[in-house]
Amino acid sequence: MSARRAIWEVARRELVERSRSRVLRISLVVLVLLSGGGAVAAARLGGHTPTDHVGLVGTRSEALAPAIRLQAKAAGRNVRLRKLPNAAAARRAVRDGSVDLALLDGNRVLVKHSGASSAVRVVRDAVATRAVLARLRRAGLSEGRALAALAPRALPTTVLEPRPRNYDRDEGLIVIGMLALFMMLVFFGQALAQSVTEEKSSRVVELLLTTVPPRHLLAGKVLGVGLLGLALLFVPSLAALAAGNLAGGVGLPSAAPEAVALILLWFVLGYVLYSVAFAAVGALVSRQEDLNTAMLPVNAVLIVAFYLALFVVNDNPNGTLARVAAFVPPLSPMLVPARVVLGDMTVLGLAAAVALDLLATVGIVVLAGRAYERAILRIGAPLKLRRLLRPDTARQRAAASGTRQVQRARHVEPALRAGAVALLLAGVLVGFGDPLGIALATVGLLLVLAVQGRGRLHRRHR
Amino acid sequence: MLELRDLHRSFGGLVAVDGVSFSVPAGAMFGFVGRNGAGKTTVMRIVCGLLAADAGTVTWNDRQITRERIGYMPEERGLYLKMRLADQLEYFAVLHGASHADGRAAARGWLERFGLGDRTAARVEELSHGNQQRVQLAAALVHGPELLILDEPFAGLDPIATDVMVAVLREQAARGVPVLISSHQLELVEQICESVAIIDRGRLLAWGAVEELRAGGPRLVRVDVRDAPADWTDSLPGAEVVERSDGRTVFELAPTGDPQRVLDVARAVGTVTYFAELRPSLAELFREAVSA
Repeated sequence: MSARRAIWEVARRELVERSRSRVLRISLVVLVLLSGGGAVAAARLGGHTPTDHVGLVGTRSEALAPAIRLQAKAAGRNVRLRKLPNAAAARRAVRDGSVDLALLDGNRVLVKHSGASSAVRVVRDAVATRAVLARLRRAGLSEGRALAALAPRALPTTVLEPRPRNYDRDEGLIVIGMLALFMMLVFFGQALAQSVTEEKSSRVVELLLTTVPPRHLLAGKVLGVGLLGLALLFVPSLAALAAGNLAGGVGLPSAAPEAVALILLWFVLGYVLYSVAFAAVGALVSRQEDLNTAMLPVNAVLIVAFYLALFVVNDNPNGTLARVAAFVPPLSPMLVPARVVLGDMTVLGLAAAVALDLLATVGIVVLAGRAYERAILRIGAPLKLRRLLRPDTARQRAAASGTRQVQRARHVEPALRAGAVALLLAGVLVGFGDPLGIALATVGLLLVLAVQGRGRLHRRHR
Repeated sequence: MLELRDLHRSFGGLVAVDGVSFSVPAGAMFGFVGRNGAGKTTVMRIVCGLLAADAGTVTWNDRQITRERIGYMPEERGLYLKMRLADQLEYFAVLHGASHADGRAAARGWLERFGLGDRTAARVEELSHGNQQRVQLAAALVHGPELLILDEPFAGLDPIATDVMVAVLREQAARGVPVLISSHQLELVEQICESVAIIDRGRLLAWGAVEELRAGGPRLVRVDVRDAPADWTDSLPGAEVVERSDGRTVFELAPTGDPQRVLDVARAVGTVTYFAELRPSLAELFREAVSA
């Protein structure tokens, strides 16, 4: 059977069996209702400009109507004006709430509970401005000069570190994306680990491995659980967007496709990196009870990444910590989108971060695949990671290949690898603004690829 | 023909399999016997591709073995406890290369065959031990394997369930499928298998047709004679007394010895009430081989 079909069939089983779970179905319905309802509520509550209702008593109040309208507009509020016959009618209207306040004879304000509302401020400012204007006119200024005196030229402002346009909107998107990735990893990364342990503890894995190689089994599980997690994120999101649009609220910010694309890219990269690590951890233990302890290191890294990302986004997307941490593969998925959209990371930096992350993913897949292959058939106490990760012993290799060449390769390969990593790190430290940094990192990357290719060649040769 | 050539495998410092070679012809029921920890499961896992051998080869009809064509029943039973029977068997069939439709049909067919036709939607955890065992065998058969590797298939089965399983395995063998069975139940293996291999501490002690192995053991003859003088056995060359109790004597014959001659002498000295050539049972051969 082809690798693709094997992976797909494993993924398909994960999807079908998991979507049968009642808990999952109920969660999906609840999530859809909550997010749809939330969007509708947000549209109802926050989507409209607030409106003040103002009652006017007497001609002097009525004369202030244009000033009140102007003031309200300047304050970003709507205003509805209503003429009232006398003070008694004004009292009634204020009491029953049909107006927020009443202006009596242009010099007194009547309110129900407190004089500190926005409506009162609008009216007060309008009246005050009107009074100042009248005084300036009395002092002999023309109408035009009096108005000019009231609206002086704006203070020139110099921005030292200009933030990109739409900073606030993008910050919101980034935080939502990060939160989604974090939740996805917490729920589905751990679900994946559990399902690997379940296959091991029920020993069904022995049957599976007679026909599906461990790597394909691992890939299929990662894919299946990932697709399900994506569905569980996207269905409520779409419901929220649709409901919000129908209720007349906000839709997807149409001007942010590159931010959304970036978040999605790192969502996938982050999920693959972490889910493979979770799956490998799941393969180390034989019982669900041992799993939580085994997952601790992965969870710890995940949480560090999340807090670091929150800190970086909220505080300083261009700080030294952010600059360095964005290139550390397990932290990149949470940090790079924020660094690119909110900070000053360039396309080159982004490419380097993606390359490093992919490199780390390949490394984790190789190590996790090895751990998975060796651990999955051993039942009993949790296995020591080091024993599983170290390369085949010289004896085994020599027995398999019958040559001494492989033994030499055993010493050469780690050295090359270490050199490659050192070059890459040096490149990152020098910085990608400097041609030297780019050169160092490129050489490092090529070396890594060469070592990887060499290793594969050896294996095939064997 | 399934052929194992000089398999070696060790774990850390422990040598689990040390130069095991034997072959299982098409259509044969082949018993693989040995004590706990003798290396049976390791050999079977190597054949299934679950473990790599440190050295040695496994070939099927002179070519490298295709894992998909093997039906395997692991010693540690393994099924998805919460998955429905029909879905589960379909999944195993599909993983071995069947289409979903064929897999589903085969799954239903085998469940019918094992009397679980009305429980296709049940989950494994709801089944009795015996029924779980049947589903486990169905999982090994559902993709129509060319080769069956069964690790302790009869462990924990009642006699009726054993009969059903033996009937199914005989049917498979009649189709030309070699059936490799490991078991502790030596009487059962002797009954159902034409050939056996005996393994101990990773080494193959003996293998071949059961009849030949039994014939290759010491040639024993038992004679019960009434009213014979105590020294009647002295006049028998080529036959050595190995056991004697009132009236009953067991001889071990030399290669040239003739059982008919023993009978003639016995009849001459008294009344023979019992005469038989004793062939060692598989269990006896096994004990002898292992203790040697």
